[in-house]
Amino acid sequence: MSSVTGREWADAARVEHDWLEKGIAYNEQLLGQYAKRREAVAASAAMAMNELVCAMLPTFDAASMQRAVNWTGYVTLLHARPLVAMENERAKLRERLAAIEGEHRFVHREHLRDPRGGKLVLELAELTQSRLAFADTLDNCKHPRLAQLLESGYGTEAYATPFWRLSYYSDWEAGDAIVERFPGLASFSEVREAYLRARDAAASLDAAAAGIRAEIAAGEALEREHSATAEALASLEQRTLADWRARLAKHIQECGPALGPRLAAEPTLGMLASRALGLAAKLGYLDRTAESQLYRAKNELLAARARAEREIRKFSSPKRLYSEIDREAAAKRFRPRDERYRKIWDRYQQTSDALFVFDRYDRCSWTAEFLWWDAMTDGRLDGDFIPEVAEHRRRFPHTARQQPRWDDDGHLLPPEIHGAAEPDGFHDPS
Amino acid sequence: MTSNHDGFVDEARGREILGRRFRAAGLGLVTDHPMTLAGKVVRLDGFDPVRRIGFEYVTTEAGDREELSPEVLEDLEARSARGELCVLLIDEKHVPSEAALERAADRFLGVALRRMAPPPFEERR
Repeated sequence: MSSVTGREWADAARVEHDWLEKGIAYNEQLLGQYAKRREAVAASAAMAMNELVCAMLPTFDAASMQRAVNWTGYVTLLHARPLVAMENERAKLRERLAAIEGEHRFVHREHLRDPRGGKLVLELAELTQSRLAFADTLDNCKHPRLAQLLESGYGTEAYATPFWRLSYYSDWEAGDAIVERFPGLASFSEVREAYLRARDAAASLDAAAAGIRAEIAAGEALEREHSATAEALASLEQRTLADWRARLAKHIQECGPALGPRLAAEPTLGMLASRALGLAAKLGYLDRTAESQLYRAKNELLAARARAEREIRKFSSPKRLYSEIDREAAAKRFRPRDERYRKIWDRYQQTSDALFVFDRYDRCSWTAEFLWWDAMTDGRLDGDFIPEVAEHRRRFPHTARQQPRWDDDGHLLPPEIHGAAEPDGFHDPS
Repeated sequence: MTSNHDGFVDEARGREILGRRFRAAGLGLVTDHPMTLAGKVVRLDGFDPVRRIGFEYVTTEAGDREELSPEVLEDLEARSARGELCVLLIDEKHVPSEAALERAADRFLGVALRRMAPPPFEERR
């Protein structure tokens, strides 16, 4: 049996690893190209759909809505009674605005909360100033053991910690440290009195300040609500129209070419609709193509690189360096990958280019047999990896041209395997 | 600072510091002095049997927590309260530093030596 050594296997894995690094980088380049193209097409698709729905529903009135329903069949636009709903919303917003405008906090907002002279603002400043008088006493009493001293009654007759316990001496030391900060006071009991007075006064001032801050915050919240409600009222019609245009766009997207007969008498709308639907289809095709080819290739390449790295480590170890492995297994394992991936990438590039440059949206025929894929690729590229295209082929097999097709490894399939029919009767909408 | 794995001043170092301060105050310290408390013989880390002043440095390492049961501590504290003896009880967990331990010992000695001072000569007679 002919064999190769572990060293030779590791060398072959290194060569493969180098190729995989380059392949991954190239695949990333194509993914970058896809991302840029996708962004451009998505922007165009959104703009085209917006132009279409703006043309179909230019204003928010009964006549406009009726026309949009006639063109699209989107009867929800009538059944949901959006004009009534909008008027109800307008009444609620007006009611809330009136309620806010009647509240004391809002009516006297400047008198209460003007930053330079508002009543509450001045009161808060006074309280803050008053509290400063107690700050020194409170700050000077700060000590990790202060709470323990107060709780145990240190400095008073209630203090009962026995002198044979360490805490007695810890209290003593802490008490002395605090008293030292008050030159005018002789004992901790005096400091304690001063501290408790300051603490209670500060707590009372803090509570009053908290109450004023809460009042200011409530007033400010009311002012914000007033602004938001006024804004909502001012933009009500515009927002409602935008909302219904978005719903209409979704409906148009779902209808697709079925809208054709309804738009037959409206060539301008028909043009806008075919452009919007064509761009939406293009976006979906670009996504499916990248998923099916680039992302799949990426996963395979990353897994292959990880395997090559494992094998390099394994067969470079002294234990495996001279181990013998079947030559046939090595040949099978290290089959060149270049041809397969070159085909995948070429196929992706060809498909992506065909989709991206397509701009003949006027070719939409509005028939059930029409498929954007065929219009965009001129029926010459295999799109069966896209469920929508595959389903269309199943329903209308005669629409498929003789297309080159590939298996999962990127090999070209002979025509009899996929059984594509010659395009007799293929409908070219142009 | 010599500390055990919990970061406390360990048994040996605690005893050394307290012993040094107590001896410096003129006490005739006996180490591991036996004393019957709550019907049980316990050994105090340091004790002057004449002046009846001593200390017990409570550590987990020395097994003090088992030996100094709640009953033993109650008896010891009752005798301290009655003025029969003065034993400084220090738990290693409450000692922030060696310096703090020294300061606490010195202050305790100031109090204990006053309380346990021998009566004036006339009274003794």
